[in-house]
Amino acid sequence: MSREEEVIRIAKLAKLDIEQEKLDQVAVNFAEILEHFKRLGDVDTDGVEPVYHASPDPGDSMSEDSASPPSIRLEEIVENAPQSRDNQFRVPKVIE
Amino acid sequence: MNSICNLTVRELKEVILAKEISARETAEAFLQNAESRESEIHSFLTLDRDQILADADRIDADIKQGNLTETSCLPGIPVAVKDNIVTRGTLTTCGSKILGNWVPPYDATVVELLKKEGALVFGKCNCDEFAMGSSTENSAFFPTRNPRDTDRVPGGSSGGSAAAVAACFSPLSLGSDTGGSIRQPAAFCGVTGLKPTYGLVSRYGLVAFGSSLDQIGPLGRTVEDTALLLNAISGHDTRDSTSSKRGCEDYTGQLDREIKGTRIGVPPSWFASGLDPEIAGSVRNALEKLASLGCDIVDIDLPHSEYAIETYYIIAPAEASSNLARFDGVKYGFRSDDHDDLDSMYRNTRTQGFGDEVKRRILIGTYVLSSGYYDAYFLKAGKVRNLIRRDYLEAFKKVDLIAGPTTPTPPFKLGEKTASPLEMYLSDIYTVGANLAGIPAMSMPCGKTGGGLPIGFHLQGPHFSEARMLSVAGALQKSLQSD
Repeated sequence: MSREEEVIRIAKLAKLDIEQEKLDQVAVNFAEILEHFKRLGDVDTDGVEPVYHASPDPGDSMSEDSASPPSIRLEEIVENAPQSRDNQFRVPKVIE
Repeated sequence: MNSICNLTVRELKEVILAKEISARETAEAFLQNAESRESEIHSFLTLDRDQILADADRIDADIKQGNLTETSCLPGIPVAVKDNIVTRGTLTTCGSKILGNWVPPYDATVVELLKKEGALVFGKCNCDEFAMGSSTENSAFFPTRNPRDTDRVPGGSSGGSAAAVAACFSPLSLGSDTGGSIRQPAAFCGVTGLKPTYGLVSRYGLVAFGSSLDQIGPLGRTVEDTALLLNAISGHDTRDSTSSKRGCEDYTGQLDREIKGTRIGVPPSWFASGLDPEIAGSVRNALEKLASLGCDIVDIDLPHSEYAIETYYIIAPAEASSNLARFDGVKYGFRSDDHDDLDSMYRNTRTQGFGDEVKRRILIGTYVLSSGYYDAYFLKAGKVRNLIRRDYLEAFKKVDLIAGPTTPTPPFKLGEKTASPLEMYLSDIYTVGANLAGIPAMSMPCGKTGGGLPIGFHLQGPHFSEARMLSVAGALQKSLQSD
């Protein structure tokens, strides 16, 4: 797969289109960045656990089993939707 | 410039509570300042004079009725807010076209706290789109310019927040820092900015970029001003599951503390190639000042810090690609009119709504999380992140704080780095480590280049060491000012 095709494949997964006139440049930058990431291969990580958080005390930050504070009114939330009807979000037809 | 704008936050608080000047007069002084130069700097995306003055009048009424007193952190003090922090009833765009029309129905916790403490929310600051950038050139609306030299960038992504403080448009501002986005613009604009320990300040209402890295933090003209704003915004919040329950403290409480005997670690490798010589000289001068105040300057090693950029630019885009999936044209913000079905509505909305840098990071994030590449990139980065974190924990057994430069170069010119995303990423070399490890870090001015451009001094400390870090920064500021 060429690097342009790879970019198109990934963009599709992310629900993005890459404009044809930008594709070359996007693919070049993308390849350059991925190439740079390869430096991580130099690091010996045998036996090292990955971490995905930065909490100093992760055990401290479990959600409490308690009632949530009052929520935002539905009307206020739906007001920001590009299209709505009867306090529900409207989207293009999904089922024929 | 009106003399009100020259007062420190503590001085302002005193004269406002003594009713020598009102919150309205304070707001008018800063508004006048902002309006005289904003067309040149472009630090705000929203600056609503009528709203600000109406809010100031409410604060004056609260002071008169005794609802705001000496115990309030910031009575009548203007605080500009980065536009990725939600404000009820006020446009919050994140510098993106995709949220160009979004008026949030709620306040972020930090905004609620500001209001509770009597602060005046003073406009919404420009930023790189969704906080992705190091120059504020990625704002979908306009770039912000550095008030110290308007041909140059203010840094990013909180460039509007730093520029607003540097230009005296507001005495304080809030930014957010995912990989240096408070500290790098603070360094470029010659102000002080602090990224708190992960979990000290609630992220509720901060539009998510990299959830395991993001923190909201204060920017101010002095160390004490910055500490006063940190006092107002820190503390546990049940609406943020990563919020710490440790509780906060008075971050101004140790500002006059004796710093003699503080052990400050410096990795010699940070002064090797790639660092601007004038910055190296200025940072070394600041270290000598600290030594003359009785600090022990100790060489330390952070062996994996040279891999921090790669680690960060895998993890942050991975988290961003997930967080930004919510922008689909359904619930809020922009929706493309150009679509045949639901799928093309999603694609066209996102393609037209996001800018180039945001798309690039979504692509990187999607790639490193995708089948076949996950282990080589995301898993590997998670492991190296652990090593980077361990390096810091080891170092903090030997030293109390770590010091060095905030940025490898002085502020660069607009357009200078936009052609090479990788080169832009490398400008975060000294700042991303603190986010990966979740530790607090700050930048404060320590000098200027021969051309008069600001230089930032970077301090990092163990988790929850903000008070100690601020005490060293305060002593250094005093020492540098006495020159």
